[in-house]
Amino acid sequence: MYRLIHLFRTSIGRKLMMALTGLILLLFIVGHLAGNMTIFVGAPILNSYAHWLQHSVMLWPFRIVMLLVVGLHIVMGIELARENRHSASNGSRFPSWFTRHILNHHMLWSGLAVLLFILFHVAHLTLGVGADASFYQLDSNQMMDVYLRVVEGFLNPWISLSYVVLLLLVGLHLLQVVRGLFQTLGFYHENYQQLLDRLAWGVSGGITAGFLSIPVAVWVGAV
Amino acid sequence: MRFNLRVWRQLNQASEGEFESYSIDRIGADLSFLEMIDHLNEALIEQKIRPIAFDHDCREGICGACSLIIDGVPHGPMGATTTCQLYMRHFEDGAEITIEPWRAGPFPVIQDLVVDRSPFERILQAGGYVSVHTGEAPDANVLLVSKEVAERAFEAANCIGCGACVTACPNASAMLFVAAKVTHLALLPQGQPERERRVVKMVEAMDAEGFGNCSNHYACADACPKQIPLSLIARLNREFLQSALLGREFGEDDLDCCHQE
Ligand code: HEM
Ligand code: SF4
Ligand code: FES
Repeated sequence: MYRLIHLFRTSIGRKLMMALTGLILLLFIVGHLAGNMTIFVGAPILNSYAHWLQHSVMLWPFRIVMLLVVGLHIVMGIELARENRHSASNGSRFPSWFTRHILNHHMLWSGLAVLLFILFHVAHLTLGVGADASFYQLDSNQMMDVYLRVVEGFLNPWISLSYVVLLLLVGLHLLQVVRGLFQTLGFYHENYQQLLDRLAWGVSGGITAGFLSIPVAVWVGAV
Repeated sequence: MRFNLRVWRQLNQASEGEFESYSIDRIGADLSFLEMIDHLNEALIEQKIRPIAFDHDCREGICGACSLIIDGVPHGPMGATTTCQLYMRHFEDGAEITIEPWRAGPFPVIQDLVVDRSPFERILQAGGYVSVHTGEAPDANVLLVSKEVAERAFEAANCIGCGACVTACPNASAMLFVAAKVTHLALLPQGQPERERRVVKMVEAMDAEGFGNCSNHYACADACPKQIPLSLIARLNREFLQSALLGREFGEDDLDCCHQE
């Protein structure tokens, strides 16, 4: 225990914590994507999947763990960004304003976009902020009609637009993250560089495209 | 050749610096960048202006003393070279050239273009050494090192400790420097006795000096005059995490101190 506390006081230890919590989040969104893909199998399947989730005894323990993980990731991320800004404090005036303030802190900004996405997404589909009664409608099997929530949501252009823009920023965080993850965990080698680059594009592109496919399917009327 | 120079002038650590413009003419194309500044300084001295302070020593690309951010790029636009090995023929006649000191929180400006790089010395003191028997020279080939390992170690040992990696990094991280030093000794048999302790001590010293964290921007390797490979940062992470999670000595100093009290 002492060893771990000591470890997380060091810079590399903190990066390890970022990478491990990030990895858990990454696994979560892959699982979440897989679950959501049931929408393409059919409304009853999605609804019964959602029903199973909502009534699982593990729902709250799981939510609490995820909240802790995401909270740690965010607090650490902001702490790291603060430290870094402090170290670099007498930075050259040479690079452009955009480079100095946006590009050089891209992880923080794209990370905060992820946070915005999560809040928006939970408000939209879990809490139903601003939704009407149809949000709580039951389907023919007496299960919550999540399918209807999704379809109605994406028929609203503003919700769709925010979803797509924020999702693309999430994709950006993921793209930056996958290769960095291997580096932080101590695995990086010239021979695997190309493979890791492809993996980064594959994972982030795949996840983004997967989540994007749902609103697109709604627009073209495929679901 | 003629050049218009914008040079950072700063009297001391406490004062505010600013850019001054100077024109300089009749510079031979084969003068080095530092020789060009020597010429400028001679002209300044004649005009009773305080000459520009800048760091230099070997002027052959091996000591790591020279620095300078030239047109926004550490060690200038050539890449893979030190400022002392940069020649005026690499610039266009009549060009405006901006010259700044290293910019990084842990490297405060002492005067003009000279910064305090003693944080690097303290990181080295923390672990960048090996303990050896002194006395007679050891017999040849007592310690066998394969050619591949020797070359890998040499590649890392190429680091001249100039600090370009730190100034290039938007977080002022010293990871590439520490990675080079740790790798160099971790690969060789002489480095084994202190291997675990070394990486921990050097990383702790790096943190204590206020260098930032690696955010995987990879600007360091682009700026490095010795082309220290990026993969060494992953090796540093690996060495450190291994020592921290499994090594016997991690955190022991602090424990010792507490038991005694
Ligand atoms: C599903 C959500 C998320 C996933 C999958 C994720 C994943 C990751 C991973 C794996 C890393 C480690 C990269 C490395 O080792 O270099 C990381 C770093 C980072 N994340 Fe996230 N993240 C998520 C959400 C967020 C949020 C909400 C923030 C909000 C601040 C954030 C901010 C950061 C920052 C600042 C770093 C970089 C730290 C550094 O390199 O200095 N992330 N993320
Ligand atoms: S790693 Fe390269 S840039 Fe950094 S101190 Fe060593 S030689 Fe200079
Ligand atoms: S003066 Fe020694 S490396 Fe440039």
